Amino acid sequence: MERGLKARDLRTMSRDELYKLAQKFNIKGRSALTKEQLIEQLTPLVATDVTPVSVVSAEKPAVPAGSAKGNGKGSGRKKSGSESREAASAKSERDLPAGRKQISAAAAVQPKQPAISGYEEAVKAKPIVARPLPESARPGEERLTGELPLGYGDTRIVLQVRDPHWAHAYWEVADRTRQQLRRAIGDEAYDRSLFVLRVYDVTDITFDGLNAHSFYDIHVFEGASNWYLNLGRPNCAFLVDLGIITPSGEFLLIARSNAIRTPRDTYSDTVDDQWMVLDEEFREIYRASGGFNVGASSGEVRHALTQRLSEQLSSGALSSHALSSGALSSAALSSPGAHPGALRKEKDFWLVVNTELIVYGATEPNATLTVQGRQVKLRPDGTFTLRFALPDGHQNIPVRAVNADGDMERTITPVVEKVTR
Amino acid sequence: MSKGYLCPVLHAHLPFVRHPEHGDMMEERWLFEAITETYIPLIERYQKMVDDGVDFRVTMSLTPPLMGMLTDELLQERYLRHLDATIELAEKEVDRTRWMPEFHDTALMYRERLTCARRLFADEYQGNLIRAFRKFQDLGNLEIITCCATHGYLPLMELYRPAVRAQIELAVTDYEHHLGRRPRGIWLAECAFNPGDDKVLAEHGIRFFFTDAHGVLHAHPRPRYGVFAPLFTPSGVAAFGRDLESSKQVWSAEEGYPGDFDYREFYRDIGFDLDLDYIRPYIHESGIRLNTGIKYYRITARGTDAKEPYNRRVALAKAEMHAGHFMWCRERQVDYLNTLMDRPPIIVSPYDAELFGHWWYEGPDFIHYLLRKIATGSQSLRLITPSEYLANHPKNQVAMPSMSSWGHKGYHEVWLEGSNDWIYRHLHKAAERMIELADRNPHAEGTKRRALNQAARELLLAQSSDWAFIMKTGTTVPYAVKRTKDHCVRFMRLYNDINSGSIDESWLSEVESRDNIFPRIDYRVYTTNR
Repeated sequence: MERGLKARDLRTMSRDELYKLAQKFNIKGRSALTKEQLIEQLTPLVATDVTPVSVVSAEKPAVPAGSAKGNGKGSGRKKSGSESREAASAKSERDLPAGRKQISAAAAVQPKQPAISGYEEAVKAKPIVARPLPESARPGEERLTGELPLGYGDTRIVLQVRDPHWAHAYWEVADRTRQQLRRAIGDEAYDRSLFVLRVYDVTDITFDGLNAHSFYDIHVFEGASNWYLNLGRPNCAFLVDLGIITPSGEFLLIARSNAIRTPRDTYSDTVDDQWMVLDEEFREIYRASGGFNVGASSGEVRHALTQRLSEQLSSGALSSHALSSGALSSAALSSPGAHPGALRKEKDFWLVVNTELIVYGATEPNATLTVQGRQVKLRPDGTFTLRFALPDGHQNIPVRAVNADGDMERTITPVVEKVTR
Repeated sequence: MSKGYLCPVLHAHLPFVRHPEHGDMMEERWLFEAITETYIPLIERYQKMVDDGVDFRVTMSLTPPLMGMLTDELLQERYLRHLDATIELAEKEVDRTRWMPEFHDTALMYRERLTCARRLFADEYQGNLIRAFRKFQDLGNLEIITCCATHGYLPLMELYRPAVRAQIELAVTDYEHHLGRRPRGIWLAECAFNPGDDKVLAEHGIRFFFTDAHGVLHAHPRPRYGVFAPLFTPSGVAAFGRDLESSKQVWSAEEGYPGDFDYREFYRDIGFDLDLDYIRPYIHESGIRLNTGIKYYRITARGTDAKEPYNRRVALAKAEMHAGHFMWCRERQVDYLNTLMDRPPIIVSPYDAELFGHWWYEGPDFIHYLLRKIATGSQSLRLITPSEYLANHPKNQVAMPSMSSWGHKGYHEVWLEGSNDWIYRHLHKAAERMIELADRNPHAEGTKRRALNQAARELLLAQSSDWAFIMKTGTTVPYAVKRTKDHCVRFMRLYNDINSGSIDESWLSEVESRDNIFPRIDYRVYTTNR
């Protein structure tokens, strides 16, 4: 029954129906929940408004083959992103008759590398863990967090510049669009069609679908949802069509991206006649400005700095929460005077021994106390504790207390000898 | 007459890491450490120069999230608590090191510096350090500029112009609220410029921004003076290009000053080195060891375990020497540039402020010596702010800088790569929906208005470039992922609730109390046609 269920449908259901659904999702404490609370708990588990989904339940981690989408977990999505990243892309360039120069050799045909399907990944994602019941009327942590959907039920493609030579495209094809395509060309033709990104050079033109300077195709898998495009042409404009090529060779458009313009990767050829200098002079000032090292010095130290900044500070919001005494064992490596991590890298075995001396005692709370001549602050009850690092050698430690009136005193002097052999 | 200008720029920024829901949130320590180790030391040194009559100039960006946190009562309270605990630890350290003369002076130094920091923070500025920065701005020594509202990376939101505009407009109004006038300049987050964004800056009265060197160098048409003079974009905003040579002298892992063996070692902290029972009250409440900020060693050659004790006096002498060296190098640079230019060059040297103090412990002293030396003892170099430069040199070449950032490789790759590219489909969707909400609800009132304002806050917080940066650099990744997801999830829920007319007021209140950045926000900043 949950198949195809939409979040807004929950509001139309009775509490009993919601309860049964909660059972399926193994939501803990469900019997104590009101209708509103049930909706609250169930909403993130069903689809966003538009996309029908089938859901992974806690009892059944695996989704039957052929179901459309799992409820997206971040790990699946992230993985699909990184694996399709810069994957060798099969590009077959076909310049239009009026086309400009060929695309650089770097963008030449390479063997096709299958991208991991975002949907397949999602199926492998962790099963949904039932969220705990809110403890009070005040919204609990679980109502302020959650997972993001895999998509938003749109059919669209977005293109973004990465640098003068590369761009990134991400896209989404709504199920209804796929179904329309299937109906239009038939299941068999659809299954044998190729998904492609058709990359157009639209520099300085208003693109009408036919007037690009050139274009080439990148074959992607149906399940891919993002791609890094090696455009190889700084200071040019591009646009991408996501579509399929049918077995008969026809290109059917699914979605057209925005246009982007790659940045220049060197200085401009255009000289402003009000601000003109000789070419050699310009190159000199360009060199003095670091123009031949663009981007070289920027990120490197900053990266290292940020790592230093944060590596010992934080184990994340989750860990701030979840730390229990059990987590202490690994952190509790108490090794005075040595940084265990630093030592272990280089040596198989190590030992560091330091000694400390604790001097403690008590006197009248309003007395004045000195240890080795230096005043010590007493606690309200008149007690005190001092902790000293104890190096090798001999220490006389006179502890002297004077009463508030200044007419009585006591001195006790521990003597300590420390030797390391 | 000076032959050239130095324009030092410190970009002070931390992402919004306020977590009222946790008693001891590790990420809040980012703020606490930056206050103790960077912001307060800089304020102390500015004050010292003012007291000595040194007429220095420095430009600082204070980002809206940072200003929001520095003026937040909860965080001020928590910082003071943190500082008091650190002072208590410093007191104990003075006792503990009594028989270790090689460390004792350093222990005394910490106690002294922390006690001074407390006096400055609590007594002099009543917990609000923005007052201090404002004071130096009013004195004319400091030019404070703003930054994108939540450090949003503008080139990667260009499809949503109202979202770009909101990042600028909110920054300007926030600045005005805290500093009593509108900002003249902006530090674009990550120095990331997208041609066309200058128009938005112009619309908000911003007169200058910065790009990395190649932003200006690859401008169209070709820049006559390289990075040593600003350009005016076609919309009339000045673009100053970063000087790479001076940046490298400080930044570079190999040749940079901070790696000098006389400087304090960052990695050896008593939070890790001392017995757990002793240090436990000063590390994370869970017992996880953390940096306490108390460190006794100086940087020693790589590959040896034996670290030498830190000597503050020697370290300060070295910082002064490095400042002298830096000034000397700029003077030579100016001499050389004078042979290529028919006007005095401006050398723009921007740095992350938190480099100075937190990581490079002597960094604020380096800044102090450098500013003082140039202000009082340089024949050819003069300190200047961008506003002053533009007043002195109102005629500049018109050209459009190239798309660029100061990230590794100079473009967007740090924020758009395998670890973080997944965020954009969500950020874009949220921006699209926010614009839709603003367009559809031009006159919302009451709870609905609150929900719309909160939706805007969630979008803005999700847009912080810090999250993508952290995902890329690989530390505290779960935190950055969680922040991205949480803000997007909260946004989407608000979007659905607003559209269905079923806003849960208690939930909304909770979210408002947590993500309380921009208390005076008006969601209509996202309206398409304004």
